Amino acid sequence: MPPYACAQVPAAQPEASNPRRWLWAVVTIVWFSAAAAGLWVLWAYENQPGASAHALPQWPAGSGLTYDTQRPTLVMLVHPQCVCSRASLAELAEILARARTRPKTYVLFLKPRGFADGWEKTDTWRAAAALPDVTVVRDDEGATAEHFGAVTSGQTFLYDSSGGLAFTGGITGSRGHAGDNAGRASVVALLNRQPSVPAAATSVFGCSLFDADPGRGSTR
Amino acid sequence: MRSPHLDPAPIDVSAARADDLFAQYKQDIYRHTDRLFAGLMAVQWVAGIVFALWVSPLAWEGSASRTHLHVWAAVVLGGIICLFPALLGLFRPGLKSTRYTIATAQMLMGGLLIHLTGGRIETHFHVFGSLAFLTFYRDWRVLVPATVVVALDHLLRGIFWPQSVYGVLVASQWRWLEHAAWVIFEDIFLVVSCLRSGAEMRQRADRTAALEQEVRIRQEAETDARNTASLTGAVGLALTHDTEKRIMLQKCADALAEHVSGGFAAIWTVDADGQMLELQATAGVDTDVDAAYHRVPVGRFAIGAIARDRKPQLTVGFSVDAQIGGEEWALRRGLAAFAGYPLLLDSKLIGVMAIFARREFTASAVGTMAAVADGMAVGIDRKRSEGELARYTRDLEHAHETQRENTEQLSTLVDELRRTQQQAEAATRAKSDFLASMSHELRTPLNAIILYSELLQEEAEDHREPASIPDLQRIQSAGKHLLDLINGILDLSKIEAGKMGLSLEDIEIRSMLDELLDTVGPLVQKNDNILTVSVAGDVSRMHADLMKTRQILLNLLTNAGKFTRDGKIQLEVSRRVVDGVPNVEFSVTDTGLGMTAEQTGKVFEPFTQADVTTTRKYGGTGLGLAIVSRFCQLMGGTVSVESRPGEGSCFTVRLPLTVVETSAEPEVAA
Repeated sequence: MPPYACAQVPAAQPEASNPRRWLWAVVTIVWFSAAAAGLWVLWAYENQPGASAHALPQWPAGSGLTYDTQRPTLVMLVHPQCVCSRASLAELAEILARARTRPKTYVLFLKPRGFADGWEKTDTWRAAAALPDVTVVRDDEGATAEHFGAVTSGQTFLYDSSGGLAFTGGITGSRGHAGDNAGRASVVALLNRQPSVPAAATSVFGCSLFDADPGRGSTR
Repeated sequence: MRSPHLDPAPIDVSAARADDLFAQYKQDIYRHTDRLFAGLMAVQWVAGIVFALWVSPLAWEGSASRTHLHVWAAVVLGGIICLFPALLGLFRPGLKSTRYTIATAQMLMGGLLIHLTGGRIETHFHVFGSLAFLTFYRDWRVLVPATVVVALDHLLRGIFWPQSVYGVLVASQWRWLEHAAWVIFEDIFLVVSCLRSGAEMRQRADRTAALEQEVRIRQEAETDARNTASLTGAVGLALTHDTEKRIMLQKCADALAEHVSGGFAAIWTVDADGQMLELQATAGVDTDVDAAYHRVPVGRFAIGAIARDRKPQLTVGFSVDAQIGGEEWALRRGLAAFAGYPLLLDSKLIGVMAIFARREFTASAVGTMAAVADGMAVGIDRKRSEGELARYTRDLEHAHETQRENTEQLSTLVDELRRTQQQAEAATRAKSDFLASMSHELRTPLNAIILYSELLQEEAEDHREPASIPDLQRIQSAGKHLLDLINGILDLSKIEAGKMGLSLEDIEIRSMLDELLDTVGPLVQKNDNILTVSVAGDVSRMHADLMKTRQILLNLLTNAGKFTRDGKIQLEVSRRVVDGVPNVEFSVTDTGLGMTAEQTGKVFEPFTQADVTTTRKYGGTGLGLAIVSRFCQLMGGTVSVESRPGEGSCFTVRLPLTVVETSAEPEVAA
């Protein structure tokens, strides 16, 4: 190279030409829309509540369980394989921790017919059993659940010391989603005798306790 | 065309190079981070699937189960979210749209993972971690779409499912801002970090650009120095080693053409009248120069203008310069710059040098060519001087040869002369030896003859036998004459042999004259002559050789008496100053026969008398005046004669008042 040649500065990599840019923009928008739609579906699913319970205003006498006349009694119905109910048990632990008056608590785990013994003893069972003052009960074929009128895992009932229904619903804000929610806040308010209770009934987010097709005969 | 100037402006590429480096650094980071996120996207996708399969594989309805929606979401939605930006990162890295898409996808993936994990607070750190990870781009703008996604997520879910986000059944419409604010809070630090990082990167680019420029400048300087050294070396070699001017200039032109990387170089020299440039050498792309340029009048074309103005000319883009000419030729060969230099030596035009180059000349190249032009002018002039010197040398050698021949001839003559001299000296020595021996061998019997003739004469007188007396007198006279002749020859021989010395002493002049007159008086008066002597009052003494002084006067007076009858003979002694030296002048004047001018011219030569008949008529050896002359010379004096036939002669002897002996070889006794 002769001594008077100038150094060449490399040119920056150009963006694509206009037609291609528009194509990429369209593709990106389509992609973003698809992702947003997918998330929307996911959000809708997780915020889609299960069927609400046909709760009785008084403690069901034939349930085989007794309520405490000295303090409130809390009953939660759980499908042992429902992953969403892990959040419900987490919220139950939160309630028990925050409650100044700890209720008598039953957590009933469904065991449909046709499953071997121990099928119900999942990590959810073990989590519930680990909670203080919680009685874990196996509910064969959902008989007790039926007495309480519960159809969705995570369904929670709170009865006062006279056996009257104080609260019914779920204690999670969405499916399998732990965190602040109206159900937990209501239960804690009732247990702590707070004057304001957000709601006496909330939606339940969880798996169905019973088969959708009664013909299968596993439960109900 | 740019008007002539020889200082091209340097091109400063440092700032542009720094911008380029900065852009390159950023681009490298973008591309690298894009690929990093491409991998991360894949990992997140797989992780989401694994997590869904592990945590929530099935959804149940009583005794019936089915694949949980989380699994499908992880597979399908996760794939949608991850694959597109991952592919962009792999195949379109570095583009702005890629990293913005990745930033958006990363936040969407965060939302998916949060859902898959049941909204666990720990999973929310994925959002904050992703924001930090996005700062790997060192482009704060990527945080914008990410933050927008987070804000939209909370806004929309807050509107439609507030409990799932805020845990309450009814929330304020601005509640999403509270959550977005935390993200923006982190964004502030990340933006500052990006800006600082960018500034550091910019500084690094500036430093690197400056360093590169310095390195480039040094490399260019080294290249310039090498080229300059190569050019000056080749030119210098040609100027100093080549004996023929045309070969020398051709090599210079070759070196110049090579220096401008395949350009064209030509050299003209001015003729003796200084009116015409004559092409001497061409080199480079085209050596077949048009005939019009072989002899260019001063003032014509750019070449002639340079010679006329005696100023260099530098032209860029000469395709529009009609004066330079050869436009099509130059364009056809891709030549773009022209430089012409007058070859000057002490303001005297020697010639013109022209260079055509493919690129603009650098300041260094211009300076180098100017120096080459100066050197070339010196070289051409030196070559001219060498030619003249060669002619002078040839003339000198010729003269030297002639002189050498003359010297040889002279040497031969000198040798011959030396041989002749040696022969003469040998002859002289032989003569001296002969005379010395002869004088001894002759004088002894002569003295005996003279003495016996005197005795016989006295006896004849005593015995009254007068008849024999004349004969005895003749014998005695002949003997004395012979003795005088021998003594004269002996003296002359000594003088010529350089063996006659001086015996200096203080002389009482009157006393010497008295003694002399006693001796010479009878001889002078024998021919009835009257001898008068006058001595100046200021002359009384002198320092000289008494015997030789007396001999001089004796010879002169004897001659005067011999050649004068019934006349007058006058001896005058006076003082004379000759050339500042006091002399004693002895003047002997007679009224005798006198001599012609021809006779006076050779009267001081030995064995020479005024007339061949003189010896027979008046006697004498012919050596007297020769001895006078030699004695005068020995004592630093002179002798001269003035004479007219029939009127007499006047011999004048001048001797220094104080004689100084110059050569002092002892007198050899006869």
